[in-house]
Amino acid sequence: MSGDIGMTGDRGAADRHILISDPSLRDGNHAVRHQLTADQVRAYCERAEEARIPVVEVGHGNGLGASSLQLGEAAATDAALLAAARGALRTSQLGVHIIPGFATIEKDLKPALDAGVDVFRVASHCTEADLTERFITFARNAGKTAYGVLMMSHMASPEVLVEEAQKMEAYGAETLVIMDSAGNYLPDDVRERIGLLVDNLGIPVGFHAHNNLGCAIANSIAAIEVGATMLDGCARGFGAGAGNAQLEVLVAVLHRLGYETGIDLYKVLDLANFAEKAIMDVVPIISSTSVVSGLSGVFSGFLKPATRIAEDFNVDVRDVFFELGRRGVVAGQEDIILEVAEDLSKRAQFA
Amino acid sequence: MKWPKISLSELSLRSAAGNRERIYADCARSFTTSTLASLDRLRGTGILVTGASGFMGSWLLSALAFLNDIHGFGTRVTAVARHPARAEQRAPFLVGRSDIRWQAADVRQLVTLPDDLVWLVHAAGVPDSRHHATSPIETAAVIAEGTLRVLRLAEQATGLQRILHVSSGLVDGAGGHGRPAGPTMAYVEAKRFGETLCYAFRSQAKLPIVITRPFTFIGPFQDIDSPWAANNFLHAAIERQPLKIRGDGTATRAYLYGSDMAAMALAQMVLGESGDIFDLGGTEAMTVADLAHLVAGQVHRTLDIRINAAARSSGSDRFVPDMDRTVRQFGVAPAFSTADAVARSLDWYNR
Repeated sequence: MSGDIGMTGDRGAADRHILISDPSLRDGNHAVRHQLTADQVRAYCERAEEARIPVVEVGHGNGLGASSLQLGEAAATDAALLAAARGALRTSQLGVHIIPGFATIEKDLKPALDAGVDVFRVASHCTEADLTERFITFARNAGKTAYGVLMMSHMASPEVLVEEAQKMEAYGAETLVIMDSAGNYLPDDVRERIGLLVDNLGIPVGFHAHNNLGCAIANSIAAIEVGATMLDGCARGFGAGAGNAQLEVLVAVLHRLGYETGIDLYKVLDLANFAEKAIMDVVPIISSTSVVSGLSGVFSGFLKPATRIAEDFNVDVRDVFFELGRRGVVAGQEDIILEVAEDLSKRAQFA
Repeated sequence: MKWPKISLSELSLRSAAGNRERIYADCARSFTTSTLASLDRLRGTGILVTGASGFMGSWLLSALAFLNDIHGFGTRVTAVARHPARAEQRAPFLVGRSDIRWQAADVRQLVTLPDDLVWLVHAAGVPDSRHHATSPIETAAVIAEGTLRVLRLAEQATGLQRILHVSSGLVDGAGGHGRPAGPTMAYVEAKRFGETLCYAFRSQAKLPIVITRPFTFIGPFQDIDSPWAANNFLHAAIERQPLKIRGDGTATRAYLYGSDMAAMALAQMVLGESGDIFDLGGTEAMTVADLAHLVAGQVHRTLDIRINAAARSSGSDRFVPDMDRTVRQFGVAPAFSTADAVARSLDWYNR
């Protein structure tokens, strides 16, 4: 039986289409300490191709070139993961996440181009869009699709987000994605920000949700209600911390709402079953710590190292998170967990 | 057969000569007999061009060199640029000539103007939207402080007959209150302030100033890696990449070829009355989708034209100059159709 689902609703054809991008093999890498193997990537991509997932994102959790002692050493090189994915993807596009600094043009983007990457998602912290100019220009001039991605978007006001997004648009980004990296948003937060971006940009706007407060699907739907046309979703929510918007649920909800994704529902359900069985150590749940991570507005990727370090120092990881949130930490500042845990430990000793 | 040994510098000279012949051939088309007659007042005079290594500057200098070499105009040109080395890369035939004196200076720090100055073209300022987004302070400062500096110096120039102040087509129609500041606003508002300064110096210091507002150009001496539609299409066509259209393709522009731009700008300066404000751009309005098809048609290859349908509809995105006065009053009209301009540009950048 086919998993194709007919459309309902009365929106115009262009309005009904939502582009789904699947970062399971990138954001999910956070959840397995960047230990995804080329075989797993290949097997997943074969099924994603069958499900007609438009874009599949692959790589270290922090993107190209990020494998390191500090951020976590990947089990496989970028080259091996991209080659495995490229070999399996025919009509689905291959995407990568790029954080300038972790990735460099010579060392990482050029090889990625040679490896057949189609979509270059160039990301920066939400107030640092300036860093992305050369990377967006490179991808665009190579004839590839360049996205601008603003991470930790809850840390900037909606107005600042618009200014930073406009910079990425000026650099030539073809789509602008904001990430709720900490899973901090409620639907009204998303409506306000995405609505403002849609009103002030001439390029499509996308949203990348995290599920710390159980709002990933609702937030994704809120985003398209105010004009977003692109959403990220991960199989079983496979991603950092509490996980992302659950891909197969997202597709089902969108279809029920009358949006078109081009994705085969049965095949994407099969894809999620496969991912759970063959790729994931555990299916993401909203752990108590994840709730705290979402509330404190700290990147979900801090969850594993913070939990480990809190245990080492015998302090409450929830206190660690709220202190990290107070300090406004961002990805790449995982060293500060140690400092915070040590401080809390000393305070406890001398209290 | 033994080939004569050619040194690198000789090769570069030969290449420069080749470039010059191509540019002169373009100028020969744009500068008709009647245009030459109307520019007669330029003969034997001194002219200073700021922003001399930019697109407009390079074409104005090329035209003046052409007028001197081919038509014996005998103008003495002072070319002011922050980085004259850029001119050596863009238009090497403009360097090392006895009738063009290059002066490396930031226009904000210009100390004196030449004694024999009769004409002044103030074209300094970077029109690249990427630069505006990354460096809005520098963008605004160069335009505002640079224009103020040039006009202050012009007050001391006794023989000055006319200043051509290069503004921007964006100044027209960008009015209204309560607009949010964005990356292009620093440029547009500074250009608007530049026009206000021109009014002030015309009114109070009686400086003879004509303003020209550039719209969209095409041709040699541009950075075709910049994310503007025409440049994008040329770059993609040369690199055999898909031509990507941002938005629904209905945005309307009118492109003016470089040598036509130089002819029309010089006519506006020489024939315009102080206080005149002219537009400077093409007369053949077309949608960017039509331009993409035009470019694709000229490379004699099947090129994929992709419309970014998910982008917000551009609606009334029309950036088209009013060239009627310049054409009717001064009798100068573009010699290059858009199709000709695309062909010449492809030929230039393809080398």
